[in-house]
Amino acid sequence: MAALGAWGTAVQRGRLWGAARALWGWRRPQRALGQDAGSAAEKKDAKPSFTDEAVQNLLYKMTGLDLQKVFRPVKQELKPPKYKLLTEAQLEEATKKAIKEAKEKLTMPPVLDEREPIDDVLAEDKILDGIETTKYIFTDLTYSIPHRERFIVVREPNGVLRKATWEERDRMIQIFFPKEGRRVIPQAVFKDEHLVTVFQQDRHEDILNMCIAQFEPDSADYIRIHHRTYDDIEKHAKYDLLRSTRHFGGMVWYLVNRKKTDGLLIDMIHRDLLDDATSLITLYHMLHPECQSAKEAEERKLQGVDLIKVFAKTESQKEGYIQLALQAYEEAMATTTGS
Amino acid sequence: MVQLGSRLLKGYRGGHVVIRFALGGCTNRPFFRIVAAHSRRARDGKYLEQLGCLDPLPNARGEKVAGLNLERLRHWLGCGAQLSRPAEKLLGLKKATD
Repeated sequence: MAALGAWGTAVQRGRLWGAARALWGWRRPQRALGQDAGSAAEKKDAKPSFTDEAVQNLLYKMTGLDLQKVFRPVKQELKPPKYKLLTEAQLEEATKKAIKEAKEKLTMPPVLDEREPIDDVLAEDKILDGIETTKYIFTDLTYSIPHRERFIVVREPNGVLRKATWEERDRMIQIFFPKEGRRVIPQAVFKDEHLVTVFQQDRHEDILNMCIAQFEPDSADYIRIHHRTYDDIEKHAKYDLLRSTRHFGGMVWYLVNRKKTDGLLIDMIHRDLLDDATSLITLYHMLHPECQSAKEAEERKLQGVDLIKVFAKTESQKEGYIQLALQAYEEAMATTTGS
Repeated sequence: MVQLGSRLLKGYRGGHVVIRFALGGCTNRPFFRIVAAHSRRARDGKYLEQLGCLDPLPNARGEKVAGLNLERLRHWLGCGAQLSRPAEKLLGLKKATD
């Protein structure tokens, strides 16, 4: 029989894993950032993070609010539609309520760094070597502790007692504390060769929703699937698929960090979303303050179309396309104001 | 009705609380529940509290899964519960070579 060993009694001495990992408790990222206050403060001044209010405002503005898309029919039980007769005022109120609910639906899922792998040996008991043929996984089922602090350890057949890896942890927690929408073993669709099929069918939003349900935000699989999706969207310029969904902010953050914003900028200008284009460039300047267009914008206090022009000249690779798109936009504006 | 009551409210003479394995599952498929119960009760009978479980058959990844509610285990051990031999071996409070 395998043994928990001295570790079983060590529980008396309290939690071995402490609050040392600032990543834990991602549901309240502000508190986690505050824990290592010194380094976090420097990081915030040097480089804005995903959770900053200014950044979130910009990303939220760019996401758009297409009520038709947000509340499009989800697969559910078939019920006959209900019709209501409303006055103008009541209709306005109903729209305001819908906008509020849409805002909640559009809360962006967190963007975190990849978690470091766990490899920590708690005990090595040579006397247990060879007694068992399989390994034992012990999970602490105490109800009141958060999942991040739960003890999950593995006793190998060679007598080594080690902490469980992140994948083992996620599996065990799903077995004993099942969460809706999550499976114990992740589905095969999350493998790279099958993601290609998903992208061909233009189902980026569905796969991202499934990924959020299945994986933790700081797991390697979550980050890999999100990055693959964003890369595919950027390659084929399918930005509109994610517009007005909660994934748009994450995608923009990814692209701006890697300076691949040209396609998105052209798409926004084509759809006459000049405000979004300017917010995108403002975000770019916030994240890369040392670039030339940021300095020029700072000096000359540029707004609107001028900002885009300066950005196109200095930072972008597809300068020609952006100029063309801007020209087309200005001509369209001229004809509408003229006619 | 009266007969049911006398079975459920059984009072024993002597006996103590033990933490042991209660066997469940189906034919050729055992499954143990780690349980705090009176020593005079049936093995699979009424228990005081379930403290965890153990699956003796390895799963697809070659692991034997065991769950233990350590907080309640501590409580019962503090109340003076005894442990059965397999339970002691699982918790590592007894030499596994016995």
